[in-house]
Amino acid sequence: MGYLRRHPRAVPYLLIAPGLAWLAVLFVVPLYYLVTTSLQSGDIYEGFRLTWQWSNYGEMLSQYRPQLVRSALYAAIATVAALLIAYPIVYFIARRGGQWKSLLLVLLVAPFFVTYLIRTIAWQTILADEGLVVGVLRDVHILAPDGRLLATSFAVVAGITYNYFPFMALPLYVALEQLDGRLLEASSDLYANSVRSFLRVTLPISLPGVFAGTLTTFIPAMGDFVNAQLLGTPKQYMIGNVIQSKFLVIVDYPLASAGAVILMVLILVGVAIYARALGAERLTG
Amino acid sequence: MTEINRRQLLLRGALGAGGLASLPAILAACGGSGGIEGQSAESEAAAPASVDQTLAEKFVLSNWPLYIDIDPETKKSPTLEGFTAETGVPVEYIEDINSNEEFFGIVQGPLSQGQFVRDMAIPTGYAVVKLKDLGYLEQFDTASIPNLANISIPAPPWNEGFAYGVPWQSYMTGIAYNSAKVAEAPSVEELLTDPALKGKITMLNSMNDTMGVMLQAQGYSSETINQDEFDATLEVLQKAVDDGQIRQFTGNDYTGPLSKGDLFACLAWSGDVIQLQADDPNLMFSIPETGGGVATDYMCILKGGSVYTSSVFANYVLQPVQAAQLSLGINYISPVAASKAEAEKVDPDVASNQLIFPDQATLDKLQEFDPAVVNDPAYNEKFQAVIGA
Repeated sequence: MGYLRRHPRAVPYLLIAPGLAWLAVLFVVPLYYLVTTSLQSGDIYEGFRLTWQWSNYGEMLSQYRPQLVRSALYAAIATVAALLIAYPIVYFIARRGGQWKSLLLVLLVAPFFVTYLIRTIAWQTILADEGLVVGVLRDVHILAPDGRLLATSFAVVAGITYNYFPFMALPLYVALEQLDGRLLEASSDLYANSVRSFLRVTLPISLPGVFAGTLTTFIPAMGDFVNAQLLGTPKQYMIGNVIQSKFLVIVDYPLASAGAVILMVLILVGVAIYARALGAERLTG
Repeated sequence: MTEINRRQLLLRGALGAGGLASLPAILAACGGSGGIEGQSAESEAAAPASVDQTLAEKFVLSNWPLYIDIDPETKKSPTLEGFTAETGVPVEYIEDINSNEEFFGIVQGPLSQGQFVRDMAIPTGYAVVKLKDLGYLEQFDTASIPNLANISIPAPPWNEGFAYGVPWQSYMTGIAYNSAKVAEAPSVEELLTDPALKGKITMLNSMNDTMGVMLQAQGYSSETINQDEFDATLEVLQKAVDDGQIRQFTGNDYTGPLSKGDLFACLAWSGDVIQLQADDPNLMFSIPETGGGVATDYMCILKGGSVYTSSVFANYVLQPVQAAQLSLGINYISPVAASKAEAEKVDPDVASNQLIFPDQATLDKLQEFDPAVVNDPAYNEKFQAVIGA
């Protein structure tokens, strides 16, 4: 303790040290290896050597642009869909749930105790060609007699939306739960109708939740490959599928790493633009 | 009968691998001074002149999930129990091979650093070739394996005298179909062009399986492959993808849609279809007239593993009685032909199943895919581009 008395400035650094060590070991070091691997050339037999092979990036960007664009598009659609679905449900639970609040919240999250893979495979059954959903849609002529849902973009986006739903719902819940009811009372005292109250009071106050929810949904969704693999066809493959195949099937670690770095940078840039547009600093204080 | 077999775990392996195994893969790729060094093939010349004839204290074995006989009552493997009873060596049995590629990613780092990983693993032939070429394998002490004489399949050129890989089990690639949807087994050409099957068929996402069957359907060999024939065949596949004829490329996740009727037919592995037939007698398996594929998983000794203990283990499982017990337990094809007579004593029905104990006429229709092509990144990239990744 004597040391700390003599050096009070060291305290914050000591407190943050475990966190920094964690980051260094589990983030900085792997990231360093990832980036250096992405600049190597060679093959598994001759060995990979660091040759500053920047063309790995060019190759990934030019050859797999469709998958990159598709990843961003699917993730964006799924994020918006999850937001539109989650908001009313969570609003109801947070504002009107009363004594059932905890139970409703558990019910909302319960399906996600089942492993990710099983949940996705379950969608194969739900959307099966010979299944109930497709049968009904065909009978009411929404789908052509030989139409299908499985192995389409719709199925992939629906799968992503479903699988990342809690990442959207929980931050939204926290934001809406903290909403002070007296603000809504004040709003109606000032003759705002319910729509206006929602737009001018509830929505702005819940924006930090929307911001957090969209990020925690969009980021993993963009790198997802399970849904495309199980619910799509090769025409729905995302950048995650490409990276997986480069790593494990073709065993081209440099190209796979370049793909991973590109994905990471795209997400970072996207998030930065989004945060700027939404005024994240104001939102998060 | 087990409800799922090892191929169904392939998918899970691939998925888990994307999330988890990529990290070891990255670290492995970067181990040492910024790059892995492919070990020279010279180390393979170091033939075991005098093998230490003492058994190890423990035998560590990696295998595919559900790829060993299990007694339903004791939940233990009679094969492993029998080996321990006979030799006194306990087996640490690890079911961690979910795909050849993933397993390679896991062991490649430690092996390149000369670390002990396992005594023995049981990957597929082409993966054994890769491990051997990188100098990651020990040779078997073939003098300690008199039962090598029981093996009824030929040793491939890369494996003279089964020195690097002793066959564990084989499986066939052919066409599975739902007889409630299609009257008779479609040919490979019908799979790829018949309008009645459009969007109702899948092919396998492993190059050796899909291209092996397709090359033969085009009249080419899949045992020794040349570039032009491969490219011409790939064009046929590309056209079927573009036409929407092929619904998906799958691991063994074809099993669900096939039994539900979403798929009318697909490329499939024999062992899977045997499992599915138990629940749905409409599901059939046929070897295309143009030829099917066969692949063999081999026991091999990873660098640093106990050569003598591994050799004794291989010798143990090559006894006809043990080989029969294994095939009856897992429904794959034994390399020991004499196991059929043993199996007939136990279960005549299974022993007469052509998918588990095929006769020579069936075996003659099968070709093992050129391992050099499986391990060639250039071919893989072309194939992966067609199947979408």
